[in-house]
Amino acid sequence: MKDNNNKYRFAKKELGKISIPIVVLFIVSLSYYFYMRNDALRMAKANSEFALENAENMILTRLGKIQTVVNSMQPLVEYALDDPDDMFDIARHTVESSSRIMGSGIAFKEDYYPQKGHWYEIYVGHQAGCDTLIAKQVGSAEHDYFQMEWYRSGLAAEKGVWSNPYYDNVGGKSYMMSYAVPIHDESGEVVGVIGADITTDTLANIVRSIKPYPHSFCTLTTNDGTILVTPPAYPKGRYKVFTEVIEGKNLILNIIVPYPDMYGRLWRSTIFFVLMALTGILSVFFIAYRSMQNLWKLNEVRIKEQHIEDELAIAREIQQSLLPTGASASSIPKVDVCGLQIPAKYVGGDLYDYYVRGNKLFFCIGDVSGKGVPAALLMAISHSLFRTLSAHDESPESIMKSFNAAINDNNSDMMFITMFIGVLDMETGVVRYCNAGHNPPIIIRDGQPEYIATEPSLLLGVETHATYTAHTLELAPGDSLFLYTDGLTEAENARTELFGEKRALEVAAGFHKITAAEQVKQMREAMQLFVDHAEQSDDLTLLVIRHTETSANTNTLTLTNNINDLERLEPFLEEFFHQNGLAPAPLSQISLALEEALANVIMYAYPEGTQGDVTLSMKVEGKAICMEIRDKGVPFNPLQQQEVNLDVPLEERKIGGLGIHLIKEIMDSVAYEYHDGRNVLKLVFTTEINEI
Amino acid sequence: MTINITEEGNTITAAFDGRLDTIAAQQISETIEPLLQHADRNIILDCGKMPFISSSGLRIFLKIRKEVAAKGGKVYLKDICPDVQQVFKMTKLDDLFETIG
Repeated sequence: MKDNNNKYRFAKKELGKISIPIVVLFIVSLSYYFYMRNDALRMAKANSEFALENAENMILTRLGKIQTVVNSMQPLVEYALDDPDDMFDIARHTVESSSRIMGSGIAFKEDYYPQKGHWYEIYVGHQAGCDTLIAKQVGSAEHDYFQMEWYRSGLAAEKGVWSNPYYDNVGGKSYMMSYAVPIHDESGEVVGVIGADITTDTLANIVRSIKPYPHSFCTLTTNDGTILVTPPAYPKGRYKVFTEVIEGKNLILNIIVPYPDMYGRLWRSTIFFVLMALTGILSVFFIAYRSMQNLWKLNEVRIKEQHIEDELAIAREIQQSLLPTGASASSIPKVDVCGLQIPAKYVGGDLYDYYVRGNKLFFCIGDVSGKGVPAALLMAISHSLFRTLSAHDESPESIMKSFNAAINDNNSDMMFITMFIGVLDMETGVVRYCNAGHNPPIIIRDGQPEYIATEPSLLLGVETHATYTAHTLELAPGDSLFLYTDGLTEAENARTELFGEKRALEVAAGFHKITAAEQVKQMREAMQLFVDHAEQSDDLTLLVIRHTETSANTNTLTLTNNINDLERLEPFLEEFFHQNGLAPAPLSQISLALEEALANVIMYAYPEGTQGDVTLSMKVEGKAICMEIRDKGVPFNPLQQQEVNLDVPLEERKIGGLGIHLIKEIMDSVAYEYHDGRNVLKLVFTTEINEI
Repeated sequence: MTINITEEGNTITAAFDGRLDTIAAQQISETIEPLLQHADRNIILDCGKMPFISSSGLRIFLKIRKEVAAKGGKVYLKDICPDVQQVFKMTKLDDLFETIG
């Protein structure tokens, strides 16, 4: 659940980042659309205006021709005013002058020709359904032209004037427009009006020819809203109307442009743009999603790896804890032991062990085939087998035989172990050993190193009934036995050269009169120098058993349980350092540790008022300074005292314990034992910190 | 071990001369009485001539610090040598004392 939450939060964060370009794309698309839409509208307006102006000009030209005809009749009428019947010829001539003129009338003022009556209007014109022109006097009480708009406006006009379009229910039976020109007599007075009619249909073909867009339409209306020319059908959907007023003619031109015509291109390009953007965004989404999936997977793998690593780190600790400690080594009399193990991976298949039973030192070194966890498991088993089998058996060959039998049981994976087991009699220095296929150890006598020459027996885990033979060698005081696993001799440098047995022997040639810890350190340094930066490919284990020389240089100081006796400690230490040619650097620290230890005994070991002694003995072994403090006071193990917790505030700390803490801080090993009625505190100080 | 105590205004300086080992620590428990009595002032423990300190010595310093903390004064360590500094470090007491000089 928690994992999912993390995933969700992670996804939200990542998708949040993606949403920014999406929003930007959206804004850009919108801006683009509105900008282009405005542009399209402006274009449509310009196109329409151009078309409208064109139409207006064409209409004006057409009307202009009519005007010319009528204007040219005006002087004829004025010349023929004396003869009212001549007007028929003039009107006929007018109608015949232009096919577009439906009819022409010449009307005179009330009672102008008394002989013709109150009304006198000559009309010549086409009649619907009749080829010939009709010509007659039409003025009468029923056709009272004095009241008609064309006549009245004609009278009032200075030159000529167009009437508003009107529906003619007498002649053309359609919408008409009339052009009227006033007639003057010789004195200049207006006496009548010449008029010509056209149907508005004559303008229709002009209007219909206006098509700036494939599906646009043009209409012609009067300014009072009467529609003169209509489109064949009004467009469906939304459209835009552009208008032009024809000045002086009371006509209005409209262009109706449907949206698809106007915005079609824009819509197509916008859809294309949006599709492109969407494709882009979806690709980004897809890529982001995939990479996030990969990240999640990677994260999961990392967490799993971390788990495994954590567990391996614990396994390593457990494995290292199986190894004997430096403290246990320092408590072994007459023998100086030091071991080192560095697994190639977290855990390894090498093992070594040593412990003291009675006056014998039992030790072993081995190498389980393979590396890593499987080898480590068998190593752990081998470790406990060695302890168990050697607990009641002092003979290395019989321990080895039982070992082999135990390993062969259920060894379905055919894991092999090479093993060297030795038992050192610490009184005599005699070692009985048995080698099951392990690398031959180096024995260093008087500074002369050589490999043990005896033939090794079969390695463990191959043959249940294999027999093992023991051999004997003697470790005189000062002699060392140097054991190792193939991690040493087969260590490879970058040029894939092996460290080899020869080099190991050369390094061991320098192991004269130096401690086991120093031998381990020098061998490891030599190997590291050789390998340089190449990766460690195999587990490395070193174990040194050194028979210490009986030191003549043991200095002893005995103090009474009087605190003032401590004054003798400092001069004693200075003398000891001087005698052994030691560098004075650690003197102050050793002095502090010893003072703490001795003061502890002096003040608390013996009951108030009783006398008692405390003895300090010191000797140098290699680079180690070994110290022993013995007293016959009440049994007291300072190591079992609760460790002072230095991290709690001072006010909450218990007073005391500081001295013991200082001893532990300064000394490399501190061991306590109580035997024969004595407290024995063993302290070891080495100038170089043991790397293990 | 001798201790030279001087007063100057609100400041008391205790100059330690010699090793502050287990014996010395027992000897000076009375000598430092004036320091404890004036623990409401600034106390400077001058360690310039003190090459060595044991855990008993540390306890003396802690005693002074405790008294000072209770009475509202301040305590400083002056001219502390590397060896002694090391002992303070090992016992993690180095954070408890302000050092000067």
